[in-house]
Amino acid sequence: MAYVVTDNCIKCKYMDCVEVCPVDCFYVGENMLVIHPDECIDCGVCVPECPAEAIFPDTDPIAEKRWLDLNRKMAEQWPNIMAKGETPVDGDRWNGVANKLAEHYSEKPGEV
Amino acid sequence: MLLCLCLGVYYLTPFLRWDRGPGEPSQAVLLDFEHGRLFAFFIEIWPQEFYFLTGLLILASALLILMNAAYGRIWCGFFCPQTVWTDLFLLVERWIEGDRRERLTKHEAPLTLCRVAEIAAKHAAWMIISLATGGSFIFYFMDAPTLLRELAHSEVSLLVWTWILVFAGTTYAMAGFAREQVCIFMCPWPRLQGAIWDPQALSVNYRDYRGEMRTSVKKAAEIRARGEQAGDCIDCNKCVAVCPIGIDIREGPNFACINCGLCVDACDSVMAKINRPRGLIDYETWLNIERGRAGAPMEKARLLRPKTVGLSTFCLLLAGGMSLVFAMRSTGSLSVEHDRNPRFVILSDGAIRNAYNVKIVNHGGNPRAFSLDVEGIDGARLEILGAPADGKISVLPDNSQTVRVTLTSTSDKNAHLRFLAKDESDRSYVAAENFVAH
Repeated sequence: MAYVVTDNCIKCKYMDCVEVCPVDCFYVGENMLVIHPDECIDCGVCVPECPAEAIFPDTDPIAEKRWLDLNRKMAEQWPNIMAKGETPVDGDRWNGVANKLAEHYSEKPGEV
Repeated sequence: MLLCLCLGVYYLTPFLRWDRGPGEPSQAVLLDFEHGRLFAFFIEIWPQEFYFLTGLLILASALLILMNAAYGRIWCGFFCPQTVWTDLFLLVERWIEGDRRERLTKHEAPLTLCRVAEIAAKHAAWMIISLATGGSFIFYFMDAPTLLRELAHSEVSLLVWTWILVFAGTTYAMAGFAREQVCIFMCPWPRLQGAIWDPQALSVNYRDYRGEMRTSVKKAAEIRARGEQAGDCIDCNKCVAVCPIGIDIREGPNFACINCGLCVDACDSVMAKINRPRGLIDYETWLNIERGRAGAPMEKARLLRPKTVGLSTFCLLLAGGMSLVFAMRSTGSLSVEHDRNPRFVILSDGAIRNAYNVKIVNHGGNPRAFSLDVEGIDGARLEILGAPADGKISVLPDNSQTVRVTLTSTSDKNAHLRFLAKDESDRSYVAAENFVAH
């Protein structure tokens, strides 16, 4: 089991999770973060930290298989992030918007 | 494992049988209020022997302190009924409602029919366990199979139902709701813990000299690459999450810690994942923690110390003494009292007769018939006044019987006598008296 980042992170990208992760397993894309499922130790400390409530255990029905696959795939391409960076100015506006994966997701790596 | 063992012992003990012969209860462990007896296998304790119970309680306290000196509050974490039943209730909760995270999510989610059914199922399961627990408790006081049959036919008295419900209610409340609050606030142990805490005991401790400063894995790697110190604790909070008492062991030894070791396992599993040696939290003596802080070499925890040896000796002596008293106690007694006046009577044929009051006590649970004999005088005739044709004196259970006995002899010499009362199973009791001839 591992935790995965899901839809609501896209374009919100608060990055509070990064500060608390005991194993620094977050990787950063242009407008979202992902967790490396092989590095995650299932402690769950990041879950309550996320203002967008976008982190779920991969056993949760909300975190379908595609999210686990996406987290693993992008974690291998994007840079590792160990300290909170600058958050998007309009992040709050996107919190709770539906179906962001199809409309706003970017595969470009983020900056650390 | 231990949970099943402890529960098994509790639920099955009343059904163990022990043959004590006719008329005696055949339940191995039974607190018989009706007849005022406490049965435990071959042991049978009478109300007048309450000191045995006191002795057992002292023995139990000494054993707990001994355990504490060796392994800390290990009783609390593994064997205490409060822990065992709470664990059982938690197990049920996990089966029905899922793990803690799922429960929290469900707790915040709006009530659905499915959720209501889940809650109802959980409480129903808890209540069934509680009823079984309360029922089993009553089995220790009455014949278990009989009571079970009567329960199945709902033929039991209101009194029995009341007690079952009282114990079911307390189980439900303590294991379902009060849980660790019992261990912290209701149990006297944590109050004692400050006094009997032993720095040489193998109790759950956090190796702070190894864990601090806490920092995440990759940051620690960077710090170490710079040649600086970083701790092994990555602050994942697993130890806190699994703690049934809700303490943070990393803050130091805690009087409320029940030494269950769940944090040890949780931390070890994390250390395995991040390739660090296990045992950041471990069963370790406080002395070794202090040695670690000072950079001194570790020493193995010593089980054989004056304190543990002394306590063990005390326990053995107490147990031995109690066994000795128990083995030497008698199941009956005989007392013989010579008539004061007249001291002897000369019969018309010249023979001399003495009269005695003989009292036989039967502590057993069955009626017994005693034959009476006398030694120390030859050719004398013993006669029990009002005895049946077989010359046996029968004594009811838990009772005594006094008879008048005459001893007639042709000898005119004084003699020292030994009266001997013997029952059917050859258990005999002796009393000394005199024959007076002049």
